[in-house]
Amino acid sequence: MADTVVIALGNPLLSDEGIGAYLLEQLKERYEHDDFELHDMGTAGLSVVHVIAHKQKAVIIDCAFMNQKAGTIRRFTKEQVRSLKLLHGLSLHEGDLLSTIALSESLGECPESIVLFGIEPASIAAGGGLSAALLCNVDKYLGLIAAELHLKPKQSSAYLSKKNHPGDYA
Amino acid sequence: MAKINIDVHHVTRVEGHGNIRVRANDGTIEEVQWQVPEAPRFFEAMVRGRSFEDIQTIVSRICGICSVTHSLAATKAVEEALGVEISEQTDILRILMHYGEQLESHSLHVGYLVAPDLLGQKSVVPLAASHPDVVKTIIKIHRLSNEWMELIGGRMTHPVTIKPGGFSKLPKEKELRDLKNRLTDIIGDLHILADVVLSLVDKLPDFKRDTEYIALKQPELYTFYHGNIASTDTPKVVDIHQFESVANEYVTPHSTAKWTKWHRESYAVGALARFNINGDLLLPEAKKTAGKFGLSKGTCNPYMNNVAQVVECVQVVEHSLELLDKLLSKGIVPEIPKVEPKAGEGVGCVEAPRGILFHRYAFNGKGECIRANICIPTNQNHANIQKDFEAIVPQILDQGQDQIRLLLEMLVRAYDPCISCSTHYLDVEFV
Repeated sequence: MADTVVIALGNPLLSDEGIGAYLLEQLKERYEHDDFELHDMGTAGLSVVHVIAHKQKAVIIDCAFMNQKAGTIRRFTKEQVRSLKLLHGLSLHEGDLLSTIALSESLGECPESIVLFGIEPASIAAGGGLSAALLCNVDKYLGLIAAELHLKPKQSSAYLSKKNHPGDYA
Repeated sequence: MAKINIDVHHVTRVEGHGNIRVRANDGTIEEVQWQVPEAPRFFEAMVRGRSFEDIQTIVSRICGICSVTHSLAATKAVEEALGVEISEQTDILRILMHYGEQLESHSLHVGYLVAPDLLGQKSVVPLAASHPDVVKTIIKIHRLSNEWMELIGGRMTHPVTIKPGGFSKLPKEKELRDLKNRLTDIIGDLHILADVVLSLVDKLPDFKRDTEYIALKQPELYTFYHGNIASTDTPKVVDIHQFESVANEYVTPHSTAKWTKWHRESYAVGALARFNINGDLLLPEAKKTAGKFGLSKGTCNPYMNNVAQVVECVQVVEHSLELLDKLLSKGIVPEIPKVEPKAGEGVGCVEAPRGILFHRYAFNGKGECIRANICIPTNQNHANIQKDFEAIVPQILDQGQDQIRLLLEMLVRAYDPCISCSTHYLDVEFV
């Protein structure tokens, strides 16, 4: 079982909300990743608590509202940010990644290292693909994430495969 | 009597809000509203023009908690439209994964939303510190349900193996035997969870409002997956293909979400609705659990939806053990689904954890979707939440603003509305 887990969050049907899932697919496509667990968790944020349990390291990629310029990627740990989400607990359908991490800590299952890559969206409109502001930075995003994980590029990965065009839903 | 001024804004992950609003002055109620936005109907537009093969994948993204349910409702509709027959093996495997999602959603709901209320905590995070054994039990159940769905669906959420006609990948018999062992083991944990809720059940408000309940009904089975539409108001059962005549969606001034009504101004769907319609068909362990709580058909306290969820957790595990025995006695047979496009229309109806869910699609001769209609349980509950609000607020008006707010929040939580599950899990500032 891998010690490091890479998690993508977000909804690929909502424009830049799908950046996590897209980058995860590109990582699989372009880099050797046999030593890692990779999970597209979509919008099931609460289930992150199970996927990170007892791992040494978790890397989480998500579209994030950070008050930055669209397309900006920030690497941060939970100690470096404060959540602006106000949760009233009216529904399981609201959530906050930092609370989920706090639950994992309370359970004594949390990885020693959790690294978050947040990418500021230009649009989260329904039905759109990734915006130009993000698409033109994909190589940069992948480079940063691959460096974090010490991933080696695959020999034959110098192109994007057709099946992984932004806006695909799988 | 003091002035009451309550505004609870449900900050969802997308632009929508589900708000509680109460205004009262000197004992006179001026305003009581459950304000909700339209649920994400854009999925209906998004599937138009797409191949029948893509529908399941797209609608599985409607919700991170009910993704299996949406996938199954859509796949049933697609198969009917294209005249596809499925094997008994496929049917059982789909019911099994559907049960996994019921267990996941109910355990999350009871554990993450309701238990903190009953144990006096703001959320599950402080609850993990104050009541670690309770939270560990909940996590164990939730974790099993996630792995259960992953085994059959290929992913914990947003399943990828469901295809029109069958599955793209089947679980191995050994994996199903392991699942059976784990489900046998989890029954003990479900009884622990039930006992925790039972010890606190007196904290659920004693509020009753005569209500119409609607759920799927099937002879001889407490059903979540097959059957037709039943109501507590009539012995007549309606074919699922006529679901629009049951839901009767309409627009109301203070909500952008459509409301629904059948025989009355509102109706309720969900665990308590299923229990009120099918409760006499529970399997022995689930029946015993319902008996512990004194839960009986005809219960019309919406807060008891939480108790019905606990009972259903036992029911789905108990029935899954029977289904796994049936599957394993015959062995898993390799199947390769093959479906040809053709024109047609179909309806798929299943019980989501939150209540009855309808999908309807029409396809042209190339198998492209030309029309879609999705009627989700949360929309069907909105009018009922409003009617509950109108009935309970006069009864609790003397309890003070904070207690009124808490009781109304708990009422909404009892329904666990799926308002929007769509966007960013992170909204942060750097410190």
